[in-house]
Amino acid sequence: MPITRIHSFLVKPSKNIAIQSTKGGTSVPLEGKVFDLLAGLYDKAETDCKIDIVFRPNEAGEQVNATRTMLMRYAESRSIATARLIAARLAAVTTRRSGFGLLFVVAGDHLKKRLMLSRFPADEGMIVEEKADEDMDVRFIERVFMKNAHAYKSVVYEGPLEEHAFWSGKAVDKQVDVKELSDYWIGDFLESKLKTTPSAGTKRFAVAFRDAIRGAADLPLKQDLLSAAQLVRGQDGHTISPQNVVQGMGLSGEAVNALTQAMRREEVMKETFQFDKAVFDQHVAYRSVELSNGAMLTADNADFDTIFRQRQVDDQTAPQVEGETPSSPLTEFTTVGRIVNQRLKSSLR
Amino acid sequence: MIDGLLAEYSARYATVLKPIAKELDALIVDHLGDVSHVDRVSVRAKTPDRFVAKAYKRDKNGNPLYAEPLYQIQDQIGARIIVFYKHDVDVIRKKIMEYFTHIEMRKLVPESEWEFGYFGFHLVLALPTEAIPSEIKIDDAPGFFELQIKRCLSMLGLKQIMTSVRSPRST
Repeated sequence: MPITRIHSFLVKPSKNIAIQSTKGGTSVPLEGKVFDLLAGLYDKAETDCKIDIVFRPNEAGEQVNATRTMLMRYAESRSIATARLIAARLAAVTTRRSGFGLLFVVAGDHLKKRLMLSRFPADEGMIVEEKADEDMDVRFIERVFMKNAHAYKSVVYEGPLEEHAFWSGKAVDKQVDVKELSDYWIGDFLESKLKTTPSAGTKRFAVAFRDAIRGAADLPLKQDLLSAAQLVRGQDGHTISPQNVVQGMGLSGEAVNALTQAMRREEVMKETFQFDKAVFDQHVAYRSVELSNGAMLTADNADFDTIFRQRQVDDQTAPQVEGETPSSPLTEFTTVGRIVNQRLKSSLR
Repeated sequence: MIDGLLAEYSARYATVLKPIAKELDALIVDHLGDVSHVDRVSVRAKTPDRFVAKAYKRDKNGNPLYAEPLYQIQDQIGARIIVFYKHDVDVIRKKIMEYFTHIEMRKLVPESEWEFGYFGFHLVLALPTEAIPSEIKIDDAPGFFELQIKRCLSMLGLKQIMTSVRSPRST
């Protein structure tokens, strides 16, 4: 088995508490049920932890990060004393709302080196013990951990955990929505940020939509993608991955494939970032021009001037339009294409 | 030992780093869009001989600086953006930081305003996944790259400014 050391700590909420102390902690034996559970998490950590994160530099912009330094020290010594510092840091950013947690620091020699931190939240439960005289002893306990072994936060770091290397990792939060993860687990505890910026992730998603819409072979697929693009705009400010968003919409398999193929790599469908509607609109925009004669012209904003050629016409020769306001010059639009669809709409808007 | 590292890096240079540098160049140009006063963008993979020379550097006590140079040397891919005017440096920096996540950022300031030298920024940025061609495994790509944004004050730079005024990219 690649796991070489496991340390565990009870982490109390200590944010904004002046005197903080994290004592105790224990080494977990490398066998038994707890080990089996952690080994399962450890083995699948790379696929389980899907959110790419990088450590933040210090305020001077230098490659200095206190949490990273703690993790490096632990990776080097694998001692309970260095693990305790990690637990103390987690306690210092843990609010009463987040509550008690059980932290596991798991080190191993998987390929190069792998370091995994997992936090399980405290839960409440009952212990019932039957007595010999058919009586029962019922006790309420507040610190039950791993009642649901699928609700946890975790982060994994791979590779040589040494200076200059080891600036990125992968995280997951199975307890809450992704937004809280970035605040408490990633931002406060790990002093990290998402690898993909809001602008980069949103632009990539938008361009994939735009290209998939342009390349859609048939009208129903094009309409599916257009509707989805409109719905995606509702994610403004949310931390998302394209894959989760399209799965949540129940988008057709064909539309998902078209989007995935429009991405430069399939993996970026899973990357997490904060969605920015303004950026999305810059790249998936349709320009609609209404003319004084009642015509409506609509096309992809980026290609509008190529699709519709326009020229100003001489007022003397151009047909006069009744009720026209001469606020803009008479303009002639021309375009050439095959009719792929035409509809009657009850309303223009 | 040097031969082993040189051979390993040479293969990496040809099959991983050079293709990524090409993609990254296109990605940076795309993100800069129509930002004004950019003279040129260039992205290069560190050549094998320069990599090996750096990999075997030692600190002042004579100890090797890098235990795992393939993982630790962050400028295996280096990008440079040259701009015409001092105030453009910060405009470009802000634009770059919209699209790339940094782990290091340093301001480069010449010793004096009258000295021929560079004013600019040095950044170490996370390599975006989309800059890795699909035939290359993500784990094989470097995690970071180095980017410099500079205004050139040399006579050569001044000449470039004069000639680039007429070039399409100078608008």
